[in-house]
Amino acid sequence: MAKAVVVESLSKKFNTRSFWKARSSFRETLGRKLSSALGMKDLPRVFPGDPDGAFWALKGVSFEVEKGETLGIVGKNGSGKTTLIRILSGIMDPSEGSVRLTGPVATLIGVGTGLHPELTGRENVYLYGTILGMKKQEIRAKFDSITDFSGVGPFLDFPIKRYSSGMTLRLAFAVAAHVESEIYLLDEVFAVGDAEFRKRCLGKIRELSGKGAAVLLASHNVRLLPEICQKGLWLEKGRAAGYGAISEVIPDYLRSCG
Amino acid sequence: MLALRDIKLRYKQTLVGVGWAVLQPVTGTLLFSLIFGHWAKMPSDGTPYPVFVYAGIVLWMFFSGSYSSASQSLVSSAPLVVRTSFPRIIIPLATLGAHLVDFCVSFVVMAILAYFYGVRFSAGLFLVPVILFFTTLAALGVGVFLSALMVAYRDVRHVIPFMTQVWMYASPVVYSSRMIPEPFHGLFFLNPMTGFIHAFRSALFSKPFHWDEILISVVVTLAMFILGVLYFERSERRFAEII
Repeated sequence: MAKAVVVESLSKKFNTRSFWKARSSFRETLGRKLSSALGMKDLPRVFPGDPDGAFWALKGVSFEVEKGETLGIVGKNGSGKTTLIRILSGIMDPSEGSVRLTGPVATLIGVGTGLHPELTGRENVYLYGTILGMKKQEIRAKFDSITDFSGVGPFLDFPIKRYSSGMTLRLAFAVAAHVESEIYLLDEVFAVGDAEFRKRCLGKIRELSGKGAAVLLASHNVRLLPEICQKGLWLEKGRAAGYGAISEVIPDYLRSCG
Repeated sequence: MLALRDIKLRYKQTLVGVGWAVLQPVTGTLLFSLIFGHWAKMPSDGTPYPVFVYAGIVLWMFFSGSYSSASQSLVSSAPLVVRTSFPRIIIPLATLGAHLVDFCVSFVVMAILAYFYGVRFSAGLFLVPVILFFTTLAALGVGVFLSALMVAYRDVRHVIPFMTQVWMYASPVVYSSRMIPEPFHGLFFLNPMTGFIHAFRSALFSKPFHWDEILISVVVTLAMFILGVLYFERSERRFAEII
């Protein structure tokens, strides 16, 4: 099978203090003077990471995803899932290691970023579609299919600030599901939405991977992942703690959670 | 599409709607006409002072409004920056549309005002789009640079209103450049808005063009635009981490 995503010993370092230490010494000195003048104790500030302020959000992560394959990414909050998705989508650069992608990428981090509350559902379909990289004619051609899928129906010409959170999410996911791509990066897309809509999303993801797309899916929903993923990647403090068949990775991860 | 969003949003849920685009320069014109035109009797190069100052204000407001919106755009779209991967430069560029619409609306009002004062527009009107184009480039140069700078330094937000005020009085918006003493001319004409405001008035009120100062303005504008975009591209890779 052809590989769609190849990631080799990927690492990402964040500097947790150097940025402000280097540039805002004046402000810090002032703050310290003030707090001592007010009789407050100068408490040491707490930074994550090592003494140099280096914090490795990802360290030496390697994996591969083939075309038509779905990879589930699990891990506790702060384990590096979103950072990984951001690097793969090109929002951030890696500090070390390499990423090879063999096709266009569609990224969905937290559904609905870029929707505007004052605009109507219809206007938002166009706006959001453009943000996700669709052409205007493409959106127009798929418009009916998008609104059908969203089930927003009669509220299409209402500003979406009047929508319920579930409705907003459905509209956003409906747009995102119509983006044509070969690699899909999805981060926590099932956070909201009812059971029925979730089922429809799963169907859509299966349909995409059936067409040969590679799907990477970061989620906390450990019951849902085995249904659609073949492979799993378990991140723990930025390192790959488990990688392989989803049926083995999830139980290992759950055991570590106690 | 983002530009369209801004245009649609600009006057949503307002009573007066696009009237705000007119009200601001008109109020400015009234105030300046009263203070500088009527009381201080400032010269206005043979054009009635209100028309003279309105022209200056309209172009100036387009310029300063464009660069301030562009400057704020990245930080106010922070969720977009950390979650999507389309080219970031689109974000400050998209803010421009709404200001172009405002400009067009207030330009129509200027035609009415000029007619009322018996000022007839000349054939130089054809040059207005060209002047507008270079003013846009200058605003983008400033705006794109400041937007990238503001990702790291939020101080920019506080500098902009202050900078706009100083810059406006450094440009011949409310006064005629004849009032600038000779020793300051070098600095005065390095400001691209000097050349553009002059050219704008010349185009409208059939006055001679000063090609030498227009050339300086164009060169400075191109330099500002290129430097602004270069700085933006250089710092773009780090936006998502520090915004």
